[in-house]
Order: sequence, then C-alpha cells, then structure tokens
Amino acid sequence: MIQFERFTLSNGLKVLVHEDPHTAYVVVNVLYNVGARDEDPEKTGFAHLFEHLMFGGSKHIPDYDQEVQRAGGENNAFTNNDITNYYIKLPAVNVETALWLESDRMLELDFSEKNLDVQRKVVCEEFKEHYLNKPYGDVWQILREMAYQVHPYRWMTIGKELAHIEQARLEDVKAFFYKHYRPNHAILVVAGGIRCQEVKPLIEKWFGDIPAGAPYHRQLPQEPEQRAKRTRTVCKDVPADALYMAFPMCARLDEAYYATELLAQILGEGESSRLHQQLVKEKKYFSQIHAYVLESADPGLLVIEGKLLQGITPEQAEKAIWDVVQEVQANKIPEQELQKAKNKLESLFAFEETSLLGRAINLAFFEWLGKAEWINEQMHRFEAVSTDAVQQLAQQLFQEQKANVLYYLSQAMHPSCTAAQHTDHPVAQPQQ
Amino acid sequence: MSSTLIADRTQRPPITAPVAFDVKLTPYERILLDNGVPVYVLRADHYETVHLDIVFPAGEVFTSHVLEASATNALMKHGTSTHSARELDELIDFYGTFLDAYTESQVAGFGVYMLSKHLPKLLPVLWEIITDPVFPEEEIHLYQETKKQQLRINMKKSDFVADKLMDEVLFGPKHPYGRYEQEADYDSLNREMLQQFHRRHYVLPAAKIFMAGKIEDQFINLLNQYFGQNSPQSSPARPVIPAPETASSHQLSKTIDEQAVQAAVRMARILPGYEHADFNLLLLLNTILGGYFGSRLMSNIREEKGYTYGIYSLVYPYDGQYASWLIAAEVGRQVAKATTEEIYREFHRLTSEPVSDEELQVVKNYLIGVLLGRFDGPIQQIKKWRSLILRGQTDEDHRRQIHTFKTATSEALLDVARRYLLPELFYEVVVF
Repeated sequence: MIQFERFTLSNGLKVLVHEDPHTAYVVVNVLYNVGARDEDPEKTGFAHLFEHLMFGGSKHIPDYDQEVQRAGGENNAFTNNDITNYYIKLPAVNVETALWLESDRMLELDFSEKNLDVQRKVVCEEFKEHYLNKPYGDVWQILREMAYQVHPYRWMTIGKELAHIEQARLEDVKAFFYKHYRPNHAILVVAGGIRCQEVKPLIEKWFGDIPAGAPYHRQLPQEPEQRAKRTRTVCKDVPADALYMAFPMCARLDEAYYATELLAQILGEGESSRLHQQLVKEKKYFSQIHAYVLESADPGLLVIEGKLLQGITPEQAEKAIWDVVQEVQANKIPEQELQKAKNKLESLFAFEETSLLGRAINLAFFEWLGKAEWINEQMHRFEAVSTDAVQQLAQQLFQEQKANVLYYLSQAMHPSCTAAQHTDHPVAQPQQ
Repeated sequence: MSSTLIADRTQRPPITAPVAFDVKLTPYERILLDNGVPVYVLRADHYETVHLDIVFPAGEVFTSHVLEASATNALMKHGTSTHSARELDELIDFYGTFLDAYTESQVAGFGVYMLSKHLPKLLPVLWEIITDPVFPEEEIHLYQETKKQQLRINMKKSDFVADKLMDEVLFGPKHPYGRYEQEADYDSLNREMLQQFHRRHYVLPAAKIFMAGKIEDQFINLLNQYFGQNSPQSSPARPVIPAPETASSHQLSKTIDEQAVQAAVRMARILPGYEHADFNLLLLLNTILGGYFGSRLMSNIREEKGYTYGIYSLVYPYDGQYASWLIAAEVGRQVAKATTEEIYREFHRLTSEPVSDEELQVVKNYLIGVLLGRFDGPIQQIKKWRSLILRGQTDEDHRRQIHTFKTATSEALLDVARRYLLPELFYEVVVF
C-alpha cells in the first residue's frame, strides 16, 4: 500500500507527496501531459526533441545537469506517445535544489539557437543508433503505420523521419513550451525521506508563482475499427526471418485492459508461456517468440513477435501462431494457468514498489491516468479477471480482419528478394 | 494560496555537500549452514520481496572452451532427473520468480527475485536445478540453434562487433578475457562437456549464498536442509590467468555494413586490477573523463559537437590483477575520425592541466551522492557486499575507496593521468 498526500497549487499544478522513512533519498518527478501523439504530423519527433532541450539551461540556471551533480544527484527523462516525464534522485537533505531546478525550467527555458542546433544533431544520432543502424531497427515504424491509419500513434516517439527533426525551428520550441509546459499541464511528485509538512511550503515557494497556461483540449482523430486483414512483406539485410502480428486492443482505462494483459502473459511472456512451449520447444519453428501489450491512453496494440528458425516459411509460422491463439479461443484456459499469470504480475508490481523511483513515476502516471489511488488497486483488478473473461477477450481480439501481419524477411535467405533491395513489395495474402 | 517564502531564483539553495556524508554499508548477518556454506543476510521486514543469489566458482576463467561455462549454466534449468524442462519452466513461472541464470568471468550462479511467501516452494526446485541437471540432448540442440541465430543477428550490430574485437585486441583470441564465441563453438558443445563442468564447478561446499529482503527464520532452516548437506566434492583450484597477448597494431577498422550511417568507435587499454594502489584514483579519473553525464567526453562530444547520442568511459575490473579502460560511442559515420581526435584532445587536457577545484568538487559530490543512492535498499546493499566478498575484500576496502574519492587532490589526479592516460597506450577499434 503506497501512501501519499495530494494538493493543487493555485496555478493548477497537481502535487503528490509520498513519505518513505526507510530512505535518505528523495525523487522529484515531473510529468507533463504531452507526448508524440500531440505532434503535428509534419513535425513528428518534436515532443522527444523538446525533452532534450529541457536540459539546455533555464532562465536563471545555465547548467541544469551540473547543479544536480553538485547536490549528489542523478537525473533523466523519457518521452513516449502519451507523456513526457522528468526525474531527479538525490539526497533528501538537498531536495530544495531539485525544486529550484524543476521550477526554473517550468517557469522559462533559455531558448538558445546553439542548444537547439546541438540537440537536433544528438537526436538524429539517437535515431540512427536505435532505428536505422541496427538489424530490425525500423520494424516499429512499419508496424505503427500498418496498425494505425489516422491516429497519431502511427508514428514513433523518435519521429517519422530524420528530416522532421532537422527542420525543427526555435519558434516551434517556444510555442510548444508555452502550450504544453505550464503548471496546469503537469504533475509533481516528491517521494522519499521527506515530511509532507516540511516540503509543502518549499513546493509553494518554488512553483507557486509560475503562471498557468491556457487549457489544452486534446482532439485527436480516433482510429476507425479495423475491418480487413493487413499484410506486408519487407526484405532487409538481416540474418533471420521475423514475423510480427499486431492486433488492436482497448485503451489503458478500459476494463478489458486487465484481461488483455493477462492474455498476453499467458500466450507469450516467459518460457512457460503457450507460444514458447508450443512453437519454440515442441514445433521448433521459432528461436524466440513473445507476446506483449503496448499500453497507451488511446487504444493500443497486442503484439506477437518471433524470429523464425531456418527452413520454416513465414506462412507456416503464421499458421502455427493462429493455431495457438485459436486454442485459447476454443477452450477456456485452466484456472492454474491464469493464476500463474496473476502471480507473475503480483511479483512484478512488488519489485517495482521496492524502488523509490518506480513508486514516484507510477504515482505520477496513475494520477495522470485519472487517480493516483489506482496504484493500490491494480492487483485487485487483475485478481478479478476470470478464465471466461480471458476466453471472451481472445475471441474478440484475435480475428483475422483485425490482424496486422508483417513478414520481415532476410534478403540473404530469400534471393528472389534481392531485386527489391531496400524496398518493400507486397506479397499474396497468406492462406489461413 | 499565498506563500510566506520568497523564491530568489538567482541563488542556488544551500546544499549539504555529499562529501560530508558518512558512507557506511549496513552490516550483514553471516550464517553458516551445516556444511560450512556461508549465507550473508540483510533483513528488511517491511518488504514483501526477497532476493537470493547462489554463487559458485564456475566462471569463464575455468574453461578452455569459450562456451563451456555459460552453456552449462544456461542449460541447468532445462531438465533434471525428476522434472522436464517444461515442468521446471512452469514451476518457476507459477511462483512469479525472476530467475537470473548468469555467468561472469570468475563465478556463475542463480539469482532469484520473488515474493517471500513463495520462496519455500521454489527452494526445492532451485536445489534440483543446481544439484541434479541432466542436460537433455534435445535441449542442447535447441540451445545451439537459437544461440547461433542470436549470434548472427548480433554480428550485424556494429557495437557488438566492436566490443568483441576490442576484447580480442587487448587480451588475444585465446585469453579468457579476449576470446569470443563463433558459430562453430556452439556446434562443438556436447553433453559430456557440460556434465563434467557441472560436476567439477557446481560443488556445494564451494557455494556462497547472499540474501536480502523479507526473510523468515524457517526459511534459513529450509535452506540448510537442502544446501547445507554434506558433499564429498572438493572446490576447483583457482586457475592461473595467462598473460595478455595484446595485438601489435594499435588501430583496427572493420566494415560490416557498407551503408552504415554510424560507426562504433572504441578506444581501450589494459589497466591494473582492483588490488593495485592506483585503482581507486583511476576510477575517479575515469568519472571525470567519461563516467557521468557531466564528464569531459559527454560535454565535448555530445553537448558541444552533437557527434553522438552518448559517449562514455568505463574502468572494468576482471580480477585483482587486470582491468580494462574502455571508451565507447556510436557516432555519425562522417565524424568517426573527428571523434577519436577529440578523445585524444581530452586525454591531453587531463594530462597537462590540473582539474579545477570547482569541477573536482562537483564530481566528488556526484560520485559520493550517487554511490550512496545506489546502495539505498537491502537488495542493492547485499549486491555491494557480494562484490566485496567475492573479491576477498572487506568493508575496510570499501571505506578506503570512499576515502580516496572524498580526499583526492587535483595533483594526484594529474599524476595518475600522466602515468595511465597516454595516447600511445591505447588501442582503437572502429566498426562501420
């Protein structure tokens, strides 16, 4: 049970304070309600590029990182399709340093051309390192474009292409800051070896006078229901064929989310999972296979991905996956198997909770979703899922017309592909 | 909401400098099982989780075949006299266990993370895996095929290839710290080799056990019932580490992808290991060079020039005698040469000018603050103890290290830089 206190400043900043008497450290975490889904389709990757710019100095503090380090702390941040999150972990006695730093960059950034110029380059190298110069690195670009046709989840957080990042201008940076980085769009969590009554006046001191921004009304095009199977084949310089299948699933706040996560666990998390046991160990079609959910505020994806062993065709491999999911549709899974999935999640949550940083980030995340109290209710929600619910969900989710299937093939193993080097070409719809 | 405290943003809030902190590890409890096996325990009753780590003298240094140690460790959980691989997978997952089967250069073992309430049920399973694995032929074959495919994929990654090549350049292709696996090494694995390695190295009396978290007394009794049994086996003799056979050429370049958009740049040399009097000072010097976000290399090559998403340096101790000093970055293809030139420029600065008091103060505060933060919690503390105990060190060595970090002068750093950070002692590997 994670305890916390909540209050809101007059400028709309939501604050949660979590006291932990067992630690001499504190985490100061700031979550901003902006992610890649809020970007202009012609300027993708901007939310993440902006995250980099947040470390380039603020109105009164030229070197953010150095101040954190001087106080004995570490800091980092991440951006995803929904949110941008920043954190500092430092000795609790120096908590005020973190409040000073976070409030100053919420007040006003030092909008510098030089910083933008360098970080554009840094982010382009990040793009190359993770998505271009790596086998299978572009798979998410392809899969997102298949599974989403109108929703902004159709591009990756890093952006659609390098050019979008290269073209970012300082006026875009300023506009983005004043639109999204206002206290009324943020959640501040202070967690660790502090007392709420002591830290609350400090929070008011540093954040209280930051002006609120205009309300932000998110109006995103919602993805229409998928009604036909989508398939794609690409041939690349990779040593093994890979198969990816993405199925539209519910939003994070939908009640069906819990059964979906459990279904993914049962199918493809861990070595005892159905896909691993049947397709890696028994049939020997795959060297590795996993199923997992991409949880997101708007409807997400359940993904099954695997690398094929030599001699197995992608059609064979796809058919074998359909066989496994059809078994879960046709027959209720045993109670014991569902219990196993719940036990794994219980353990996972317990370990997340042992980390102070994990608690701070999760508190901010659940408050952003709706209510921080939900952090303590997650496991009950999972416990309540029945084997019937899992079966029904499998029936709704795994329909052929809702499948996005990508064959990511090795050029070397498919010589007829070489003519289409580095280009994509469609193949006949695989038979079921 | 009005606040009585006024924020003066131009003044940094006062800090307590972490160099003033008392850095003490929480003392462990040492319990001897009936056969003399030591169990090092840190209890945290407010936890629901437990971490257990059972360590054996079964690391890479004991073998002539590059995969003997790691394959034995990985395959132990794939079948025992009484349980099939599938049954073991099922049991491990059912209790929500994260089982980390690991092989390091000196030791190998099994780390377990789970809810304390399930530990009594998992313990007999773990005991079986450690004392009675049967290495089924079918599992060995599957392991060979899947690992070969993984290796083929990794050999398409410039960072992976560069790291392997650098190990080989520094120590030579036959040295336990220099060799790396080829596909043929997987083919030459066989059951007898694994059985023999297991018999000689997973010897109960030679085990060391580390535990942290919620630990009930009955659990120690249970641990003793299994792992406290007498066994006639004797511990393997410590191997003699051969002298390195470093490559004659200081520069190596390799192309694995003509169209690569980045190059993996590595620079490294061999250093004395943790028994050497200069070792702790080298750790501090390394932090300044490339060991944290504010380091010289990050400031220059990422934050000034934008050549890379990240550049770091690392002192990695293999044993008391040998360590390596490695600088690594993935950089834009066109700036590979410029990057190595800048790295040498930073060497030159550190060997010609003393580090300023300001920079030294920041780095010391950072290092002490962050080290303390990383030992925050019983699991992190037992890992630190594990590292000391396996090296044959005590908390006296830990205190000495912290003392060096707190008191080192810029003169001492200049002296150590002039003796170790010379360009002619480094080797370059660049992989496109």
